Amino acid sequence: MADESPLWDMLTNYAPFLTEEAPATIFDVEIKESSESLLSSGAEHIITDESDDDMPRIELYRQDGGMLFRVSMWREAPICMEMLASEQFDHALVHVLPQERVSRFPVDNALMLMYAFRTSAMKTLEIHASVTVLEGKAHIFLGRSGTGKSTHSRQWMEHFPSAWLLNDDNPVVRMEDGRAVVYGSPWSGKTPCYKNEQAPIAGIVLLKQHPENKIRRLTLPESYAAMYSSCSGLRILEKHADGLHEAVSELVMTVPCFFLENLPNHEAAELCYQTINNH
Amino acid sequence: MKIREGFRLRPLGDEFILLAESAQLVNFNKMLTLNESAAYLYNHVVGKEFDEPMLVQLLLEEYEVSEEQAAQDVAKLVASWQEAGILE
Repeated sequence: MADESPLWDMLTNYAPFLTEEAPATIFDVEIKESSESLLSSGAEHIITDESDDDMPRIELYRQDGGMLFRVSMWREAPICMEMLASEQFDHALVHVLPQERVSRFPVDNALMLMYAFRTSAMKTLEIHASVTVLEGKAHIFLGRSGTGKSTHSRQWMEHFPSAWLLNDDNPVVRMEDGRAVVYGSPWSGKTPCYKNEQAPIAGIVLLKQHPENKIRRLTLPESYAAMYSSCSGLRILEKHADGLHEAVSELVMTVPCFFLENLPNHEAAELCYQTINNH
Repeated sequence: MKIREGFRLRPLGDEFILLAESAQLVNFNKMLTLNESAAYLYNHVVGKEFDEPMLVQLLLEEYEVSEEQAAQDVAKLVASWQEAGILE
């Protein structure tokens, strides 16, 4: 990215993750502010993901031996970012298109996509969840947009004074020698919570709003389905689907998963905590 | 009948799960759980035209089960596959 770009000042969410010396580079991204499209006439359209109103709309093409992404912030919005990624997702060229109001969304989105796709074969999952840590252990809350993941994390922090938020939208889960560990990331939705911290996972909880609080353990296939629909990945590419399956199946066989139907109150947090820690 | 293209059968613990992993099935958001015998049948007929008597025959070849029981199990399985929308 050009030295004089105003975007640099906006990317403070990456500061906690800067290192003096990287142990190994997993990918690099060249970012240009340009109105020029990267789409070539030979591009083959594969899929357009506009399934969720609250999520970015993504057009995906095969082009020049790699993958081309065209991203809008939401379904009706203009395209704000294009990214041409190499087949291995170890390199990408990103064009940030001129925006009405300059934001870091295109850069964040490009880096999130690269991270998720590059690491899917490394037993690493970028998931859509809110994560609260208590007594050194992470509690991961899943659910569709608007089901109260952030609200439930907030109930924990109010109810348990030592509980803290690790990430509120896009944490990273890794399987490390049979242990499931969750990491903070530079991406955390609307909550500015960019923590370069990690914690072992005590439990994973799928949330649903309900007029009363009740919780039950999910079966193995139910746990898999809950995780599968919460993690980013390009399943239409076989190698990626294989990597995601390996990570998700190992995770749900290692960590207990629950279904919590709940009200936004402290009793829900207490019930959830007791169930996970006494299962 | 035939199993629609684009699915992938994957192991999960003692069971198997059927996932939609292709661009043409992007809107298929169900996940099916198959036990060992259902997975055996799936693997033998995927990509081919098949009918219930063929599935019954496959069961009888592999498992010690009466023809009547096999026919009942197959009818149930096919109904569940139909309901899930994996057949064409």
